[in-house]
Amino acid sequence: MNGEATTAHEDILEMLPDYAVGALDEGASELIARHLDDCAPCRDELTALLEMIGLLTVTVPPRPEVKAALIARVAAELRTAPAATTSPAPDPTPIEVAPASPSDRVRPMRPARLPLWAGLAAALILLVGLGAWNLSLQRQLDERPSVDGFIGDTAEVHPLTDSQLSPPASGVLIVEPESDEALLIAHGLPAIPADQRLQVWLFTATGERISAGLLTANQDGHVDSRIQAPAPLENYVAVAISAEAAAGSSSPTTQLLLGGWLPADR
Amino acid sequence: MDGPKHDQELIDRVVAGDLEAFEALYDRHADVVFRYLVRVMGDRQIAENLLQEAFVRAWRHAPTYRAERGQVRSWLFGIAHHVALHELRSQRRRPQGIQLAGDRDAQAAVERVREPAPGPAEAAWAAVRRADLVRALDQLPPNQRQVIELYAIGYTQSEIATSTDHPLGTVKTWMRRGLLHLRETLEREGFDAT
Repeated sequence: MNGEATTAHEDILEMLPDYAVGALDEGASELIARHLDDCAPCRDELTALLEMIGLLTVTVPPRPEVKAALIARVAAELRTAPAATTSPAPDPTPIEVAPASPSDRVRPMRPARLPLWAGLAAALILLVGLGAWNLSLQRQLDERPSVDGFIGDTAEVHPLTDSQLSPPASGVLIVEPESDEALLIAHGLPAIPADQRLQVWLFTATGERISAGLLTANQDGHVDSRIQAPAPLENYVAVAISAEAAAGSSSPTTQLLLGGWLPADR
Repeated sequence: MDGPKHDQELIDRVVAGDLEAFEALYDRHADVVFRYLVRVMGDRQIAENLLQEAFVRAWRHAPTYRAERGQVRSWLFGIAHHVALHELRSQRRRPQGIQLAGDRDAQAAVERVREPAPGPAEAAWAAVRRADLVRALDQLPPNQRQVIELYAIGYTQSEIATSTDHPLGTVKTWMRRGLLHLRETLEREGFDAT
């Protein structure tokens, strides 16, 4: 590479951060695009930069409707062309996804201090409300001696909701705030590889994630188990479940399958 | 199977018209590509539409993917970048930024965790990522950290130079060094990009 080309190359490397976010005018962008056609190191630099921007940007994931619309669109294409094709296609027209409305948002539910009977009733009402419960599970919940033995006068019931990876899983975490034990009941969890287990995580207010043990769901994706926290549950702000190696992980290594808040304003 | 190998297998299946493989590809990469699009467009609704558009293009052009040109994720980012620039050009608008990633204030971080989100699991995961990022940013020299944080919330390099009263050339140097250090730190610590 001669001196002039090297200078241009260095200049372009410095312009890449602005190019990556579309902050350059059209002329400069075209100049860089032409350079990228012939310069593998700059292409590598750009792709690394694009990924870094994705990592640095903090926002919640796209709504599930986006994936649903995408899959519907691609499935429609698949019906007319059995395989992906390189043939020219018209500019894709996105299926409009309705803007998010307040009802699209899952809001943390405030826990209530509940007596025994109300705790059970609330657990069932919440789960019915989440739309992922069934009668057999209600019977299991009613009949489980571990539940009767666990819930006290100050028990709190926290709903757990699914992530994009696990619809329509749902569940509850029943806690005694000053206790380090809780009862986790979940249903509809997705199947995980045979060499993995479900691991429960507790999150502190500063973002630390603490393992609260390993679980195994039955073949219906149902979990009903006591969990043991290292400290009283009032020290944590959220709980979640992920699929991890059978021996467990020191921190979550996959996206979370199910989660919920443990509000601190108690 | 590691990520890139799994991606290659998914791409091969997508080329054969396997919709489940395409869904898996989306699940693996959509979130981080979406975050990039939100940063560039400054609008979640537009970013969601562009995400859909980018993945439709990935579906259609999967046979053109060449592993020797880079990993699948890089290829997807390239498509997203192209789609975003096209949209910006057509809208003749400037990119806008969103919120800080490097929020050091614990209370503010907790409040952010509590913001309504599509699901507590995703929000909790975002909190984990944020804590990891803050730790990585903490390892940068202050000047490098500052320019990256400003860049992450939507400033251009020229705007950073103006707002921090540093020469543009210096800002560009700090930016390059800072991004390189940050990348190395995140790779060394096994940061999960999903």
